[in-house]
Amino acid sequence: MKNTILLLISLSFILALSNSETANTIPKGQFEVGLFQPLKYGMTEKVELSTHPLAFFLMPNLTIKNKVGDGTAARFSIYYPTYLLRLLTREGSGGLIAPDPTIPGIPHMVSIRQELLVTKSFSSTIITAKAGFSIATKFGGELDSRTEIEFPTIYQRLNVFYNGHGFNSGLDIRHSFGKLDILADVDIFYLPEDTNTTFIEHKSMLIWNKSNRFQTAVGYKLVYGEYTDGKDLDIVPVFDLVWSW
Amino acid sequence: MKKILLILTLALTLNNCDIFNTQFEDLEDAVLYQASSLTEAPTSVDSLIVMTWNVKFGGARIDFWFDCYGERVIMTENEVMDNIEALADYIEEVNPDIVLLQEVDVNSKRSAYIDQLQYLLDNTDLNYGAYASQWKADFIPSSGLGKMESGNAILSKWALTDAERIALPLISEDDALTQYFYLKRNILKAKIDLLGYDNLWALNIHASAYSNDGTKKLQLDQFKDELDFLDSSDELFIAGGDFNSLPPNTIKVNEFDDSICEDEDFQGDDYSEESEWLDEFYTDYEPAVTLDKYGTTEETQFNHYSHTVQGPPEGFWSRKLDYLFTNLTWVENSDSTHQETMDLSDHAPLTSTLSLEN
Repeated sequence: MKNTILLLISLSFILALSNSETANTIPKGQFEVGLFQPLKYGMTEKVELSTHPLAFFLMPNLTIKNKVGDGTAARFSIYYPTYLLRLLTREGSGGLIAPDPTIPGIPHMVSIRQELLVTKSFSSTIITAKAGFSIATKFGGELDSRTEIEFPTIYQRLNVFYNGHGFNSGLDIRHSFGKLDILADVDIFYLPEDTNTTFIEHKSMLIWNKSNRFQTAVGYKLVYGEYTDGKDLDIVPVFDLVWSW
Repeated sequence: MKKILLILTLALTLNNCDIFNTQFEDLEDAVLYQASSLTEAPTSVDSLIVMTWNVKFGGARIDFWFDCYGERVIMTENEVMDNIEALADYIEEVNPDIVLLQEVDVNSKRSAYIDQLQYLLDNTDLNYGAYASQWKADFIPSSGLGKMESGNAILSKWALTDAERIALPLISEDDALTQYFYLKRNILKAKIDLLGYDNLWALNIHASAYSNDGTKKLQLDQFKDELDFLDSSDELFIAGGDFNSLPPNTIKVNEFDDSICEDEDFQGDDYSEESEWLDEFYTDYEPAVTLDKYGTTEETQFNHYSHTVQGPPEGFWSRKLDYLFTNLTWVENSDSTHQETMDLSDHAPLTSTLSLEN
């Protein structure tokens, strides 16, 4: 059970099922959190902080979104996955990385992602485009390619630690029917260097806004890309519960 | 809106089916292979050299975690290439016409995703292959195993047709999660397109190693039933594989020196309750190694031992688990248990020459 919980925490974080990504920030002083979404806090009317609370102690992470203009925001994220990946290097269930004595231990490493988000609103529809790049650095050792986790959504997000840099872009469209919203998005990950491939993710969700304080969402995520062993298309069910206060 | 709901329902339903892609039907077509460059096969033969070999996914004598001798899990590409090249060289040296392989990885993280069956076809005089998966999962969330695609294979100088994967019973005492992710044993069966023969079959099995609930007996019985069906239909067969069981009259049936696992999930080396499980194979069909030749003393039986967990220099073969049977006849004294292959796998290949003169 312990292993399963550990696995779920790590997966929920890395899956990063953000219901909607816009250049908007939540109001000053407001909090928002989801079962699988980060805890957000409106620090000012233009600056929003967020972190994944479930994963924070295993994988410290912080995102700052800064509204830099009308419908435009810059987003800066930092991740330190070393401790989480070391915990996932284990024998038995929940072991996502092999505890093979010929594989060097997971080094200390940090990644930084910088993104630009642009949002346009058209009556009941909000469209957001984003583009970004990531860099990562390691301290005290190399990362063996046998530690790669070839699992949909995880592989492409951790690839930056193997390649040192990566690029991403995406488009979100959210249409409101009153209490019911439909969200469709596409995310593209460019994995350079040795990997030299592209991953495409598409998510569709139905979001029910029960009130200003609570919403629930259900949908699916399609992931297509080329892993170490070849191309694959996967579908992952997604759901979430989000509270605001 | 209806379309969206339909898509969502479909997506969720598909996902619930078999998200890690581990399942099989009871009967499926096997996967057919062909060497990238074909070697001309004899058009007329009066005998066939047949080999069976559990090749341990190209792991040679690396001490893996499940052997309890080491902690290795994932090989490097160089390790796998060195080991598979040695296997190909040995097969090429023996030059068999038909080969039954067990534990061949074709797309597994533990063996650097190398398609070992294709490699062996491309680097021996064998031209055609049939493959039946025994362990398949897009991702195994345990011990860092990741992707797994490993199974049984038949290799032949002549084309293979009518290749089938016949599912064997799962170990009933395993919990549902283990059954979902763990090995799915099978019989691989294919017809050999040998000139002058339209009814010659090859059958390959790798029975369960670890089971205390009688599943291995059920698997061997199903294999025997398959042979009986062919025999009663006037079909000819070569059958073999890793039976994970000892011949009748075996003296040493437990407390093997090389078995050091304390985890009961990996203790499969007490055969004292299985002494009669292979009797009918021997009474109804022709074994490559007769019981007379196997003998009734450890000294004579030792020459036919084909498996040990412990590698050299301390280890040496400790039991016979690998077999060849036919409803034709073997050329007398043509059998060989190739015990000089200690470095290549945890099993030795067994070969014998099948007579086609009648």
